Amino acid sequence: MIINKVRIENFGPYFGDHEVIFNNNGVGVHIFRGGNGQGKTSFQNAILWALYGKVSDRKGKEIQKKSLLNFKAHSNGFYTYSVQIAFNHEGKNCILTRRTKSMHHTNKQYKENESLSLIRDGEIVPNPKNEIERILPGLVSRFFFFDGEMLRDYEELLDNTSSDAVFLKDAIERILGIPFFRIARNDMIVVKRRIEYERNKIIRKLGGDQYDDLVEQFEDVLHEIDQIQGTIDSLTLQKQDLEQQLKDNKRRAEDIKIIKENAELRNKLDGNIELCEEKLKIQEERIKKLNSNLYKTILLDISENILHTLDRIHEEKMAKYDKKMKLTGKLETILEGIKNSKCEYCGTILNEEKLLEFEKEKRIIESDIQQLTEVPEPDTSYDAYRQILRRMNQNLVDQTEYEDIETNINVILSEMSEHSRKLQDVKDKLLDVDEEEPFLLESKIRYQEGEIGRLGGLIEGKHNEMSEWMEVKSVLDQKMKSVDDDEMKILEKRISLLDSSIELFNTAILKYTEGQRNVVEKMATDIFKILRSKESFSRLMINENYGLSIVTTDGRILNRSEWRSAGEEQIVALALIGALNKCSYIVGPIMMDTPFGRLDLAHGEKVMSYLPSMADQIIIVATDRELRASDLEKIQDKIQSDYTIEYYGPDTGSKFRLTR
Amino acid sequence: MKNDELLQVLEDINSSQENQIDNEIIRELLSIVILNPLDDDRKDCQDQIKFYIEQKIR
Repeated sequence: MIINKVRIENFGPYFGDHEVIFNNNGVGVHIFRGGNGQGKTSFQNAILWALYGKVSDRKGKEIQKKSLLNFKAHSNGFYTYSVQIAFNHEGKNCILTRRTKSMHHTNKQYKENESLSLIRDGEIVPNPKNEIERILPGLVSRFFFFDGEMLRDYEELLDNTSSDAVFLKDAIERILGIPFFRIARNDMIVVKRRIEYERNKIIRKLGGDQYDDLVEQFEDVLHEIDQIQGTIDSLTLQKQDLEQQLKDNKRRAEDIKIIKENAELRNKLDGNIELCEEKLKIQEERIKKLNSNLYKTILLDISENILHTLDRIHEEKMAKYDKKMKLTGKLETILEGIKNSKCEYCGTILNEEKLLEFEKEKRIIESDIQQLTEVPEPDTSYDAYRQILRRMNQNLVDQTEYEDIETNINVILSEMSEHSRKLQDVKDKLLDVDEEEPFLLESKIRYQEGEIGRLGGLIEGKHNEMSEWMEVKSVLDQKMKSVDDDEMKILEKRISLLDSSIELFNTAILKYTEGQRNVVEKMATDIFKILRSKESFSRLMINENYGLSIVTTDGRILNRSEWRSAGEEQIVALALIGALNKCSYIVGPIMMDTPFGRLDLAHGEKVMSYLPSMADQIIIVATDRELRASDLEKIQDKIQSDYTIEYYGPDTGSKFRLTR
Repeated sequence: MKNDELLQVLEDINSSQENQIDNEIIRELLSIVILNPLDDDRKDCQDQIKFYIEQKIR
């Protein structure tokens, strides 16, 4: 397939009709240059949509049909877009037209009203979709129309065992023609089965209990085998369906990882705010406690005064009390003196002067005691009150504690404010988003992974069961062969031929796959040697998934982590794609979007020099920054068309300008 | 070109097999499949293979 002309109408940024002619009947190098957002990728998407009816974004997600309509056309109420590709295939001129015209701007309407036609040398080709699949299968289109930025994804995918990797491996084998052997083998198995049923009918016609039993047994066995095969097919479909769903879910989970992270962050922030509120409560409790002691602090001066007065009163009372006690003691001494001043027996005054002195002193003391009789006994509760007041003194509020609490509260409030600000930010991001989705997806993915494993086990079990029935069938086959009838003998010969052919194609699958892998490895190495940056990189080595490793001159096999530069990966991927195109039975253009994005100047120059030899038609879609004049000089004689794509705003859209 | 390569692989394997098949049959079977590679083609392809085998062995 060599593309000669592309016509675009209202597709993506292209408003109205646009025609792009590939000079030299499409053979050679054709350049489409333009800045970011000018419509380069949309041009590639337009071609892919015309061929396969769908286009995907860089994450592999299909772009909605209504999103493919030009903005201005939509504003003007024209719900129509189309792409036409004129190409030459195996010497025949073909025109492929895909068009959709809708009454309403909905995906469903665009899909329902989509039409596809293919005209080959002036004649309408029935079932154009299938014809395009024959010319350039959709499965392998990624090796003809690709995004330079995504090149390294191939290598990455080929390193693992995901369903994407299986899909890519299938695509590589398809491009190498391996499935033809597989298809032939499977078709011959079906044909053989049909002939076996015919054979049964003939045996029945021959009649006889012995034959009837044999046919019955044989048909039972065939029935069992068919049922098991049906179950295997159904389980395989279920498994494939689940693998596809799992792939979609994993992709979706990757896309919405940020939602999950935000949801988790929101929960964390909620928790942090709750923690802050707890801390605030603790500080409030401290304040309450301090406040409860605050009145004591306020009453401190009064209590000190009261204490002082009480002390003074107490001391005065005690002084009087002490004085009274002393006077009482003294009175007792005087009374003793008076007593001793008189005769103990007759009362005669022994010393009058002394007696008078005692009497006088006694009167004075009694008078003094009389005055002191108001002095109460010492009040023991006084000490208790005093203790209370002393304790009050100890519980007085320290101002620094208030300051400490205030500092703590300020820190907590500041933290809370920061958390709240972040929480609001996260809540804004989660607005209109199903934040439960990541968690639901996670559980779905876990379930699907488990289910895929379970189905794999069931399929294996059914295969074992099938082997047992095949052995039974083989025994019955031998009995069938012994039936003596001419027609039977012809059928036996046909079955025998099919058996041999099935075996032949089966062996071919294994041998050819291995052989092709070696050829791809050699070709990829040849290309790699042209493009490589380091002389120490000797060759490439291929694994069973078609993943490539670099082997150094001293025989070391470098794993991906050892040579993982984006540019180097792009070179290895390019070598693989170049090799696949060389080995492919399919002939098509190579259209590369942003091929030099990750390459340094030296690599860019090498790739540019090599590109023209990759296919008869090379279409380079790149930014001006990628296309250096000095590099283009090297392929000057190969360049047949040079277009600039420019976007003139929503009213006019993008346009192609031929500069050469 | 690619078809010839595929055929060559089959013929090489066939030549070393105990029950050899006529190369013409191999060529015909392969070309039927190459002309009918799609899922939608399976029924037609199987019919063509059956018809060819029936014509070949009668």
